[in-house]
Amino acid sequence: MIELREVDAFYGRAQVLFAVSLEVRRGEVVALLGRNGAGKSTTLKTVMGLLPARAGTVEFAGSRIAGRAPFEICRAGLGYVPEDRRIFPDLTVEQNLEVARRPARTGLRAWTPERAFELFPSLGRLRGRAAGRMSGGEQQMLTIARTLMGNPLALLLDEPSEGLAPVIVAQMRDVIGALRSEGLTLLVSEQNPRFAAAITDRVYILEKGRICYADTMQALLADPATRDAHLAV
Amino acid sequence: MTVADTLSQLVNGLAGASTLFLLASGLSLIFGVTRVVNFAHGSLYMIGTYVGIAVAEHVGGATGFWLALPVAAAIAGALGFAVETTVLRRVYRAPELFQLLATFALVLILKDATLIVWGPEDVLGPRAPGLEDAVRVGDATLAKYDLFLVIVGPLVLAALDLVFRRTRWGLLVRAATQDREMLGALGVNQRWLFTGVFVLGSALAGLAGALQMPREPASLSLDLTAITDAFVVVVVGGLGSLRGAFLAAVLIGVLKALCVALGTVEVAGWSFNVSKLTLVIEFALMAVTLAARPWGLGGRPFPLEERRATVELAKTPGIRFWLGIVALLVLCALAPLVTDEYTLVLATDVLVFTLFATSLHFLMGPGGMASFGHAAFFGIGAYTAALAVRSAGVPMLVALALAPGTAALAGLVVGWFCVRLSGVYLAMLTLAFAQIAWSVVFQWDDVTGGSNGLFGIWPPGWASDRATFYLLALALCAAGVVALWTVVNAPFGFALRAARDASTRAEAVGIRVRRVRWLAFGLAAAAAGLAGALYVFAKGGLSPEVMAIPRSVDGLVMVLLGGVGTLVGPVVGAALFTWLQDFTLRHTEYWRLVLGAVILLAVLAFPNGVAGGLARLRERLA
Repeated sequence: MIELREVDAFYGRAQVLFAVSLEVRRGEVVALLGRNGAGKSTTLKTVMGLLPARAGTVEFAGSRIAGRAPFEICRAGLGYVPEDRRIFPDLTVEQNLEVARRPARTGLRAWTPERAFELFPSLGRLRGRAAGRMSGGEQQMLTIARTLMGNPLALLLDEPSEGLAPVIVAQMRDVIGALRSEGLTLLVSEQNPRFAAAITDRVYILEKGRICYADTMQALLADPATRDAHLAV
Repeated sequence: MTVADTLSQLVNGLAGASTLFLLASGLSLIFGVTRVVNFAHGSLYMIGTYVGIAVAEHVGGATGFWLALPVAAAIAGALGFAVETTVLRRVYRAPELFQLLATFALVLILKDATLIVWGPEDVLGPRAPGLEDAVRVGDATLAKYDLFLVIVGPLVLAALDLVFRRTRWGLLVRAATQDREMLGALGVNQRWLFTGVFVLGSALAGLAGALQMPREPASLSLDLTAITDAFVVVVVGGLGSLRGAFLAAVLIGVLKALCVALGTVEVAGWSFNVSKLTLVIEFALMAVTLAARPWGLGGRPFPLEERRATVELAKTPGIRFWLGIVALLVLCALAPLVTDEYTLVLATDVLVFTLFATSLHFLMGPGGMASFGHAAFFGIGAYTAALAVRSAGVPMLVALALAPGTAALAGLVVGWFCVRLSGVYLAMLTLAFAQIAWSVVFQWDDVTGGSNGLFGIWPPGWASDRATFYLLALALCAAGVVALWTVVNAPFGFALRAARDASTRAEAVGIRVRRVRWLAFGLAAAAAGLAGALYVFAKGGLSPEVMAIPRSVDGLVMVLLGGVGTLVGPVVGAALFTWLQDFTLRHTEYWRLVLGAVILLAVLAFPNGVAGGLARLRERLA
């Protein structure tokens, strides 16, 4: 569903991704692990077209998307949930959802605000509130709900558990489980291996902009040495 | 002044506030969504007035007048569409200052296009059919058309408010002002959103221009006065806030009305004509707003500023650079041997503007502070020299030495306020101070000669020869430019650049960011003042024009044309600009059109300025 081959990316003159290759198959939940600054967010941004891939190819659902504008990539069915939330602070919860609304895809149940509020009941209670005046956890939920309004086929989730209270993290885990059972494909970047372990099938580990490990989640859990080498702070 | 007079002044002020609001709301919308400061917005307003008058006269009668309003709006909107799709769309990703240059070029082109169609004479507009007369309220006579305008402003505000709160398009626009990139990632094609906003903003400018037709004649100077007024309203109201813009427009309208109504006031035997303040009151309001509440009345404290790639300044120049400069200076010094007098006069202009542009570049490039009012320091230097010779009778050389001093003092005063701000806000505050300085000079007839200026100030006998004065100018300008370059590459210059690129980190390593910037303001002003003083003796006099907004704009164009990222950029830019201006002026009446087209082409071809473009070319060839 999502496939990167030998992707290089730069911030100005500094290269941040070196020949990154990874694949997420339809219906899979894949984790992208790594320390701060390893290139996880950069990888997701490059897939979304927010940062150009200087070399290599990015494919989504069988067609090449590298070089296309983010709005086209979104319309092709890829949803992006940024780590820094980036809600529209002056708009209400409902307006944030409305902005992202896209026509339904044939054969799939369309996302509506009501359906999003079923998934995130606390958002339903705040629907008229300016998004900038909500807690971090609520904003994180809104970010996910907003992306769902575009009826994506796959989601890029950038550090969904970062900076959230444990009770909200647990809620996030449930939401990701629910989305997975809906048939969504997910690529989740995480710093927290325990959170990732609970939700994902396979793992890639990034270190200094290169993929240094790829295996199933179970294999990683059974190999504490690797885990410590690449992930321990 | 009676209550009745005050009331009619108030209605007059509020009527002006309505069109001002329409004009400013368009500018604010465009800036909010595209982040482009569109200098050509005032040009669309000017064209709105011309088109409105043309339609009203052509069709005639009441139909003509009322038809003129939508037609002017539509034509301004169509022009906005053309401008956005052909020019601005290509520069959205370019650095901010580079976008400014593109819109400056549009100002020049649109001004001459208007000159070609309508000629240089002011065109008087028709009066509004059915609203020609006045109504009497008590003792006050209130113009009906003014009352009509007073209603139009709030109506347009309500309509815009409805669009932005109740329609999906309006929601998308608001979302775009908050986070454009994220909106794109949510599947919204920003391209058409930008075009739509640009067309709406332009149409509002055109409508505002047309609505003004019974109140002021169409003239070619409307573009810059309109854009300046609109900037003031937008900054006072808060960037991107429509209600704030409305409030600011009303406040300015009322303050101006009050100034006129108060007339001459006597305080302790000292009489002062308050109505003279109308020229500065809005700028004074802006200065107060920026100092006390920089984000404006309706705005919010700044969101995190988008950090664009900073301009890179070339490495510290080596011995080859300096050898090249020495060779160039020697060539320049030999010029009087081979050139005629006309060329020497032109060359002296080039020298003066080279120093002026270099001083502005010093602030904008290494300092990272774009000044929209740099001509103020040029003018203060010029007036200092002129008055020193005229009133105190000092010799020219003493006058030339005094000028940088007063200019530096002015720079330190203005800079003290400005260094607290950044980006567009800082630029606006410099503009406000420049306008205040200009209006003092313009109105202080007894001392400055008012709008006539001061004349007959020529160099003394020993320097009256063109060649001698040219060599003197060469020596002083070269000294000024080299001094600024030396400072850029001295520890002070490194601190200045550090403050520009990462001000908090610079603070953390012990650089006193504000003080460094403040001193930079003083230095740049001193150099500009010297240039101004030389200008006086080169021309034999001066008028308030030397420090008016167009002069500041010229300076910006020179710096941007040459390229902000290189040391020699302003030298190249000033020479190119002055020569181009002179060359086209000799061959065609429409020198602005040619100049604008050249700048626009240069902008689209060399995003880093001419000098920057050449450097890149050399890099590629090497």
